[in-house]
Amino acid sequence: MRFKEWLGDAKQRLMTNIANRTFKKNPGLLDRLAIRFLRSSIGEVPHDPELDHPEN
Amino acid sequence: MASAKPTDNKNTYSVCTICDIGCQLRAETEDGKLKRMIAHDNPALARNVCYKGTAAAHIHNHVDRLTRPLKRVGERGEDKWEEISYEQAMDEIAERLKKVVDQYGPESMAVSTSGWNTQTTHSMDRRFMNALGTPNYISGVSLCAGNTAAVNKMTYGWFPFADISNSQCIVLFGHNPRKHSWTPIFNMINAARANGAKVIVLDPRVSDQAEVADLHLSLRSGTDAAMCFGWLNVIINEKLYDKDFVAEYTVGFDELCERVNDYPLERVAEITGVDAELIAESARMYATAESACIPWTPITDMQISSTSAIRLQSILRALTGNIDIPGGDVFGGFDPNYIPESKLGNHEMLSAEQKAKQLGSDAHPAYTYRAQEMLSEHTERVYGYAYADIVMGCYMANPSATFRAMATEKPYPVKAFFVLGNNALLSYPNQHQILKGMMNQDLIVAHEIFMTPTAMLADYVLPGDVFSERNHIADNWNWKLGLTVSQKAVEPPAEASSTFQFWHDLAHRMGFADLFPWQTIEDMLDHRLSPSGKTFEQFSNENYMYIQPPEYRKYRQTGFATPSGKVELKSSVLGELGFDPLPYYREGPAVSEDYPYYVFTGVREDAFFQTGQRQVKVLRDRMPSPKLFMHPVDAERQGIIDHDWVKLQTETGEVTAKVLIQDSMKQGHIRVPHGWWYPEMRGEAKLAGAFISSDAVLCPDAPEYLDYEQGIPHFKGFPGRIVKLNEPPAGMSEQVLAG
Repeated sequence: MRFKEWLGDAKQRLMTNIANRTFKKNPGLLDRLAIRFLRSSIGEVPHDPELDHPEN
Repeated sequence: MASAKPTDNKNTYSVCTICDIGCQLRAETEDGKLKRMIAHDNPALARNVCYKGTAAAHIHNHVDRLTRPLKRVGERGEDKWEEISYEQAMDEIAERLKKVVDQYGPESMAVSTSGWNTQTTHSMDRRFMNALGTPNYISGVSLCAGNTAAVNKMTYGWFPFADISNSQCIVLFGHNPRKHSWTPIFNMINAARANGAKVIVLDPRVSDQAEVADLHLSLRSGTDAAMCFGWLNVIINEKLYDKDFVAEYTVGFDELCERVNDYPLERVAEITGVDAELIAESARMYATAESACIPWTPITDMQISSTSAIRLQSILRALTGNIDIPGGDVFGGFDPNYIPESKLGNHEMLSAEQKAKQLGSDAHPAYTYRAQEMLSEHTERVYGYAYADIVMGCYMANPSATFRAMATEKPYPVKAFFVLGNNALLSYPNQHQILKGMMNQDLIVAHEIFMTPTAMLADYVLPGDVFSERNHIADNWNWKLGLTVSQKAVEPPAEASSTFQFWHDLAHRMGFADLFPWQTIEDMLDHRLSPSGKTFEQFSNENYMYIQPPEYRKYRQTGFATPSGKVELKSSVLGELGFDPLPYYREGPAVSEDYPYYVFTGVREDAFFQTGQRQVKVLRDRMPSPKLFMHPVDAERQGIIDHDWVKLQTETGEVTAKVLIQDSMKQGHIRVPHGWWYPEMRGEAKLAGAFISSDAVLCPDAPEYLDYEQGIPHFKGFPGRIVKLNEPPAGMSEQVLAG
């Protein structure tokens, strides 16, 4: 049980560390790999026309 | 450090403050003006945007933005002004505040604010108030999240944030996150659902979330506490709880079991109107999930049994072993990289004598100093600092008691009212009493981005800045660990400035300069980031966001920040304060022949945040007029068809609105949108129509309508009736009549 807990906790810490790498403004090599991993797992988010407003 | 230069860089990241969620967006500027606000370029954040956020340029560049300080020249509320300089305004405000304090004492100053809107206060309001000697701070968070934080602390010492994305079961008590309201929560739920999570919705209406839920329990409005008892009954009697956790980390289990036995499923079914078998099935689904969470909900915040219902949700989390685990409800604690507002507020400075004067703390102490300081030594033991002002909601005066004191001068006079980023007149119950209180002030100061009905009642109105015009780091007020950068993209117009600047400048005029050494927001951000070893410039050049890696089950090392060190199923704090230490269900006011409907108010619409944005065309076009929701059977009985104008009346007041007939409504219930007024009626109707359609006129705050422990009104299910109007109300614009 404790191992399962440890594994679950470690996974979340790893995911947070990966996420933090994607939040860098000047990404290094590992950061760019993290961004690539993120893009491959989430994919591109298409533009949502509901967000558009007419100019006024 | 000098104020940062604005930039036209297309990669400027700003935290949107149009609502309270705080999505990070990208600002595009042109010729020193905000051109547009667009979605994030990080795919993990790109869906966290709604059409309010993308309307930011329409708001920030709006022709009606306040840009110069105004001084009242007509009668109070007459809406007549002269422009004066910022320096003159601040000098006069300080002078007049000194006079009030000299005559009535420091507690005669009250402050009402909404930190969601103002963002960059950095608790300088509390620091100023504590230096002056007044405990009378009120906020909309007393009705929404802040009060929940305070009550959660009584059970297990902190206010957890639900780890929705990783959860296997999500329970929504009336909460209805959707694409354009609470958008990140909506996205988290969708992500969890895609990973197989079950969703249970408990809502009188067939809400957007209920439509796609695994189980929907259409409970009667205002009965959340009873429903929780039903779940506990099943979970305890079927032994679905985490026995090891209960044995090691809780106190009061046997007493709780006795109380739970007072609520057999048949009784709960009768109270809530939900089939007993469905209650049992949903309880089993929640309790047996590998991980489960009950995210915060604004619905449970606003009921006559709110304290008990919030505690019961905490108890459910604990008994099922779902606290501080992945996919459960997680305790953040103070961010190790950022000095919390709890510290900047300097709550130690306010004397015990002045704290004891906090309005409402005698009758309803739950979120006041009186109750929360009983947790201080335990908070310090576990979290390293005694004051945890989570979501700004843990050391507040009671709003109703404050407005009563403003109106009646009992138990003592409140004669100076400062209101910042908060349309107070429409934001608390019993709007008539609020107006009476405001009309009885010697000094009212408003700090706003637009003229509002509340600001119209002020002596001075100072123009506020907006999020694209200032630097900031958002930290979720210690609800959730993470730091999000918000960069200044453009300069504020004319003399618009931040609430940080306001409190700084007032403090210097009132003799508190030594307590306010930071000259600029950037100085403050450097100070707050000092534990990280970085300045704001360094931090924001390196990251646009940073999330502290989570640590789970911290209680195994520290215990809980409660007097017993355990999860208090039976609350020692509430017991010591003279309340029932165990949760209970209390029935709200009953419907009658005269008032046959259950009215629920405080409901947010996608196009607006609370009372804001009605003057923003691109948003108002999406929601031109206020609309009550009714069930077809109720509408037919009343002879009402879609888009009829009606009056909704309660014993306290009435609102005028249109009706939308919806199959999704529960019969016998009427849903009222929050915060309606008519900026276009300024100069024609009193206070721009603030008393025509505002739900705050409906809500009573007499004792029989208040939660005992917090003094929270029963917004979710009080009696009302509908009267059909034969003619549309006079003075409405064509857009309102047509829309």
